[in-house]
Amino acid sequence: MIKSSLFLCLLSVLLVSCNKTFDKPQEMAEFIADPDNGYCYTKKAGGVDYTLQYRPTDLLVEQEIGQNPKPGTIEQTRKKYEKYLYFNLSMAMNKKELLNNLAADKERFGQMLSELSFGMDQKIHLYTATKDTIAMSDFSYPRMFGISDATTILVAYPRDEKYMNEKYMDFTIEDLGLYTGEIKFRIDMSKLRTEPQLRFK
Amino acid sequence: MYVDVNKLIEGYSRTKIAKAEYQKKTAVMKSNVDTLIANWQKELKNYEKERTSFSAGELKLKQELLGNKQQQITSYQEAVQKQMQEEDKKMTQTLINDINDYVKQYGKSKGYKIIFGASGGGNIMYGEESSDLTKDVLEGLNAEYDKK
Repeated sequence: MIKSSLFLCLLSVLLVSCNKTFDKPQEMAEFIADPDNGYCYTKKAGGVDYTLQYRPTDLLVEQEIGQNPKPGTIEQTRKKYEKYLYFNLSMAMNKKELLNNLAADKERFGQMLSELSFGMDQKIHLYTATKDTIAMSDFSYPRMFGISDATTILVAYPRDEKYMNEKYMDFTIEDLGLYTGEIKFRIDMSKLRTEPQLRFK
Repeated sequence: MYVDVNKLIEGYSRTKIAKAEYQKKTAVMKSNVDTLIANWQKELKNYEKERTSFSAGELKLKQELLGNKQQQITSYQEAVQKQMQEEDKKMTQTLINDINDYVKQYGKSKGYKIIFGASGGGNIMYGEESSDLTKDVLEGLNAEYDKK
């Protein structure tokens, strides 16, 4: 009796800690977008809707090599992407890009455009529970000229084993002049340690 | 269960740090304005002292110059005041965000179904002492912020 319950307990621990796998990238994207699964965080402040979504390595690999890659390319591409943690940060005001809401104010429009294009590494921070700041590796803001319903920025941080074992990390966005105050997302690192994977054919 | 939001803002470690930063910034801005005003007053005094020696043309030009300068200082003063108000707004909102986040996290971990925020506006007129979570929340909030 004790043995069987111990086995069941061990099995459940193993199942929980195992990486979830998907056949299709769309399925994985849907899984990632569900806040209940711990990879997507949302918050609303001062009329701005913030969404922070983790981008698993395999989703980026698939984006580059497709579903039926040549042999050897999967591991090679995985190695390239797994060095970093990628996050998509979306910010929307009235279901529109941030810049769309500032179109009437030339000065603020210019200020925000320059901030989004060149200054986000000074506005977004990632730090551990003991306030160790992790320097951002890079960010990319593709300007969509109003055709998107949110301003989305791809942010990359080095995947350092030193802090991958932390319980959580705080991802903060400074006030971008929209009176939202600083926005904080607490990232559950156990989810990132067991990030979902794709079964490539 | 409830928390006193004003007490939380007041007792939060980050408030003291943010306020000190804000005061430092505003002191610099204020001293810039004060210097501009002092220079202008000096020019005005000189003008009053020497006005009898000016020709009518010079007098008009000097008056226009002083008037323009005064206008510029007023606009600058207004801009600085606006910036100070904006900074204050941002700072307060950041503190409120932190408190909201922590209360949410605290409520979840302790299994509370609801935590009210009393802010002196009359939304909680009376609460038994045992229902007041302010002290416990404040300790946790500061412990998390001061963690190093």
